Amino acid sequence: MALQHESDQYFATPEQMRRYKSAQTIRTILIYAFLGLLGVFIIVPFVFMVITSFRDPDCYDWDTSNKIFNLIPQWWNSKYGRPNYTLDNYSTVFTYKSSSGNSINFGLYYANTLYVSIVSTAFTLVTSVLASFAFARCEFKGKNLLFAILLATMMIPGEMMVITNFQSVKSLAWENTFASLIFVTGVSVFYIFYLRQTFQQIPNELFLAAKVDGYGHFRYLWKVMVPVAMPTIVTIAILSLMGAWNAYVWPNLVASGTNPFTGTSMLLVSNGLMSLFQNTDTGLSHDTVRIAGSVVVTLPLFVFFLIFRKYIMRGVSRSGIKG
Amino acid sequence: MKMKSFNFVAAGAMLLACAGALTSCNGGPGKTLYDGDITADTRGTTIDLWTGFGAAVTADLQEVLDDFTAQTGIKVTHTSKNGYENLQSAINLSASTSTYPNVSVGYPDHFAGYIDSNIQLSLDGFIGSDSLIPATRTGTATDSSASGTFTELPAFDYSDFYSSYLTENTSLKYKDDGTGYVMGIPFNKSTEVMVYNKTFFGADVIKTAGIALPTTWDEVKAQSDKILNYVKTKGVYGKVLASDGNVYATAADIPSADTILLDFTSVAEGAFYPLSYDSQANWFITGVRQWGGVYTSVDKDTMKGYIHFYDADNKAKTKDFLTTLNTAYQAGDLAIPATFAEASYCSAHFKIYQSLMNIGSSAGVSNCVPAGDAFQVACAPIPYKTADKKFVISQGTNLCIFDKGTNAERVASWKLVKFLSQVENGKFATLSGYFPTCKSALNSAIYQEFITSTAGSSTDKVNRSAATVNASIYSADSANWQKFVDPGFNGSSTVRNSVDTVNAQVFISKTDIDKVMSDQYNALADYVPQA
Amino acid sequence: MMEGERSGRLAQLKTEWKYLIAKPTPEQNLASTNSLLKSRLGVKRAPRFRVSEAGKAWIALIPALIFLIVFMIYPIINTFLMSFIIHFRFMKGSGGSFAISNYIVALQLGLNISWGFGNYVSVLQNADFQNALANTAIIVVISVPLTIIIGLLIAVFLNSIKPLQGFFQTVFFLPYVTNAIALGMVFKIIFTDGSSGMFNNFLSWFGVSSQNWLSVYADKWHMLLVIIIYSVWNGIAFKILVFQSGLSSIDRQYYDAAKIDGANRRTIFRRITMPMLSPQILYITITSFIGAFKAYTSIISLFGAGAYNFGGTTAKNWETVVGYIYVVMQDQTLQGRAAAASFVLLLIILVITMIQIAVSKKKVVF
Repeated sequence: MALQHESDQYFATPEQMRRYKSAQTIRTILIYAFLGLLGVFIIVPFVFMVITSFRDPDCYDWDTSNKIFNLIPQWWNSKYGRPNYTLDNYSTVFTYKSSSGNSINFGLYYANTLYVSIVSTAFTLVTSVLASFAFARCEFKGKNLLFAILLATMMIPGEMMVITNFQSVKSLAWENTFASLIFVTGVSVFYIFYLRQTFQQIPNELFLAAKVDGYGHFRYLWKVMVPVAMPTIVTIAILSLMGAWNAYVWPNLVASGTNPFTGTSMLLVSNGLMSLFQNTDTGLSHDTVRIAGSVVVTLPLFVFFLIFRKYIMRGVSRSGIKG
Repeated sequence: MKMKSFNFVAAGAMLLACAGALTSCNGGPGKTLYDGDITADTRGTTIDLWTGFGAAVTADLQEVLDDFTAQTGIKVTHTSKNGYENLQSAINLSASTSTYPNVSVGYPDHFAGYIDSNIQLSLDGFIGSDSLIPATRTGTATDSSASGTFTELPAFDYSDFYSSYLTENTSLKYKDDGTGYVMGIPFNKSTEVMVYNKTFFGADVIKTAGIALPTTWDEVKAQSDKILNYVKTKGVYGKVLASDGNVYATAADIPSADTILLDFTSVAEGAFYPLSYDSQANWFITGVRQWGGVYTSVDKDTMKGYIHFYDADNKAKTKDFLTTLNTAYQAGDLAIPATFAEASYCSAHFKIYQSLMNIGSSAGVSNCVPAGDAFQVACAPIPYKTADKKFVISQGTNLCIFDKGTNAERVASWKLVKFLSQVENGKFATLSGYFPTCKSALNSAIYQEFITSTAGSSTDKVNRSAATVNASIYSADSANWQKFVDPGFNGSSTVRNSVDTVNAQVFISKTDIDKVMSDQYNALADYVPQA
Repeated sequence: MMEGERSGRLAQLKTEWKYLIAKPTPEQNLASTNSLLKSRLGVKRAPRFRVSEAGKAWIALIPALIFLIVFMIYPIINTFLMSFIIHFRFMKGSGGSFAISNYIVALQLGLNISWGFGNYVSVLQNADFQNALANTAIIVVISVPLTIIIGLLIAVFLNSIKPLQGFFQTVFFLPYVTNAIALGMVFKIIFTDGSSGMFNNFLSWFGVSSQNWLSVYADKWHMLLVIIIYSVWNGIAFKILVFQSGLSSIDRQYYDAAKIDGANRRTIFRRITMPMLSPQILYITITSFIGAFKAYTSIISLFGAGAYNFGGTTAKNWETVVGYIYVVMQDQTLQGRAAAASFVLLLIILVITMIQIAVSKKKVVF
């Protein structure tokens, strides 16, 4: 006589099932409401950013000084007799002159940043995989001590290392080269830690079976561990890429001039954005132009995220091994 | 035995000969000579110059550098580090790896650090030997083997510079006899001026109402109160005041014969302040002096700096200064950047009629020109307290040469310093809005033409106005103005950054002056003189 | 046949039977396979040169270690040494960044330089540092638990819905892609004073009057609210990610067993979800605390006026410890003091993390 609900609950009477169903519906509605509310809270700054980047600067000023709040203003502005929206901000962003007197070249910045992000991610992956493998799979004297030391370094404030690293970079003649951007910040204990957790969850039986098949350690790493932990590795790659894209403090210090080998500027998109922010020239220091610059810098990352969203989500949800 | 005495005599003779040789190398007491070969041919060398200039000045500087390359055949690679702090930090961090540039600019406290790091050269040798540089050579600037004559730069005249600019450079490192080494040569100097709304103050209606441009701080209070009263009784807030003395609802309603005096359509009561001041640190430092107090001092022997602005001798004066200003501020007469709830410059608000007088750097007066030339602007001296203490701050950097490179590169660096500070300083001044550092630059044809002409855009006009204030008023002996600089020591910029917040705390947060000052003394504990 | 003969025969049969039915041990299997391989294929078993397991580990570690030592361990040691030198500065001719060589050169030139604990004393006695420490503590204590709880709730809810799950996942991960400085600027605009500010406008729907949020007219607690909102906004993306991964790896069997036992939702959450998620919660708690102690960019990008403005007329209202370090680093004579302050921060973070790990030994289930 027991009725079965789709969620594997059994009820004695239809009455109970109905009550459960309505409670379930209320619960679902509440959950969606909560998520929706928070989602709006998260989305508002983005919407604001995108809309404001298209707004005419004078109209925007007039709006804010006249104490009118408009998230999405209407098309026509009566005071200035022209549309509220314009592409001027973007053209300003792409054509202004930086303090070296050269006109800005966001195309070059994208290229630079892309190159640095990809190569440094590759470097990070190689070192992280090898190091995590050593900590997870191998036994050697001093393993725990070494890992503890590395863990401790995660707690160091980055500022402590900046000055000394800057001088080391100068001594190595890496200033204004890609090497300084890739190798110095490339090894990340954070990712080694994360990957080690994942590697540790690979059952020992797999290793023994592979050993029987004649696999050495490194072959096991390449043929078994990496494929099994691929979701985590992909996650690390994506996170590392995103981190490299937004990096500012270190690149600004160490590589903001001209590359001695290629003769081109080493600036990254974050430098471009900061020079927009710091510029006191009235045409450039306007909020709408700065926001347009922010959108320009954020957009590629956002597009990248949309494309690889499935991998990130899948990687995250499978970074543990079940069963 | 005989050998020994012979050796002894010989050694003694050699010693005497060396001593004689040394003194003759010295060129006589008090005159230092360059220890390398100053006659070296510098054509074709390349040197590095680092500055902290923004885009506009960089472009101006590049023009002058191109002239330099054309005239001397020396190539200069200029890099701007975007701000003086970044510049100072970059140079300090390159000291241990010897990757600093050949020439740079800096303030005295920057130099204090470079001297400690042992990377800065003293310029006495260059100055002393400058006359030994041959006047002409064969060839051209670019080709030393071509035919023709190539003229080197004219000789350097150290006495030509304004003495007020020279003291800060000779107070950094001292010789044994107590005189100072010359550690830098003045380059881009500016001062503070008051930019005012000429259209408003020049209108007959306003003059009739008894409102005039103030010259002292007491007058500032009086005139500002008058202006506020006038604007309020006339009911200008939210409307437009025309030159016929009437108030209209919008700019379009004004009769065609009249001009706009005050466009307050976006300015409500409480959003208008007759006088605004940009740099709070400058205001505080200048004010302490104008009221008769002492701001900081340096111990010559240890080169350590100390603060004095609220010790027993100066407490009353500084407090009087802050109280006077605070009264005016609370009455609504004054504004600082923080008043407008943003950290931007007041010039942005000056341009939209939110203030009528703006005190700021002479190098930034072009920022006060309103969009579309809505009104005319001109410059005047800053207000003072009493006629015997007309102090105005002198700002700007000096050129320095670092211990780096071959002999030819060092001589080339010296030539660049000469060129920028003296030979083409006048041209640089006309382009950038900085003041000429020496009399020959002031009197140069290009600068005189710039200062006496009446043509050009509003930006040119206001730059000219600022330059005139400097040349005719601040520098004129009769006007009794004194341009001052505070001694540079390691950490003077920390002190300056700290006092920058004093005014805002007193005016806006309304914190008790004694408490603000004791907080300052706590924060600057390193610089408080030990009893 | 005699009795004795029969028992002996039985024993013999038993032994034979044991051998007949016995299975080979793994070692025997391996041995037989090996010998088979050897005889059939002539494969050499023992390699000529055998790298021990430890050796392989070190080979694998070397790439990471080289760079870590040069660019992380060495700077830390160097800065540690710098923190004991009073009036430290970099000198020409010292050959590089090494603190001790710079110290020696400076000493030889007669500069006012010495070594000792002076920097640490100055830092701990400094009113600004104490203020910064208090500020940092407040920010950490409020923002970290809040962000973790909200992140956990969102992750749990996300896990329980099917339609629109992907959409919401995207939305909640968005903050991760934005540039911190740009974000600060947007927040600054949203939280403008007066009725023209977006947030004030939003509040007016509930009848709350306009407040001052980030300007000099704002009071310390309004600024804190904005800082907290910014931290939560920025911080939940990664946490949701990790929690979701943890949630999805919890075996369904546990849930099924609980339902069979008739447990209700709340019990399931408390007794199954939370403990199974505790490794992730520990990881997130540790890393969030560490990250929050290092808060700096979030503060300066909110107050917008530059790298040393932490709000208020004193520009130090919400100065954090890292902010203090940066301000001190500006003064070229106080590099040693900045290094000392960094080390004090490190010690604090270390102690807190140790406490967390100690507590976790009792609570976390692996």
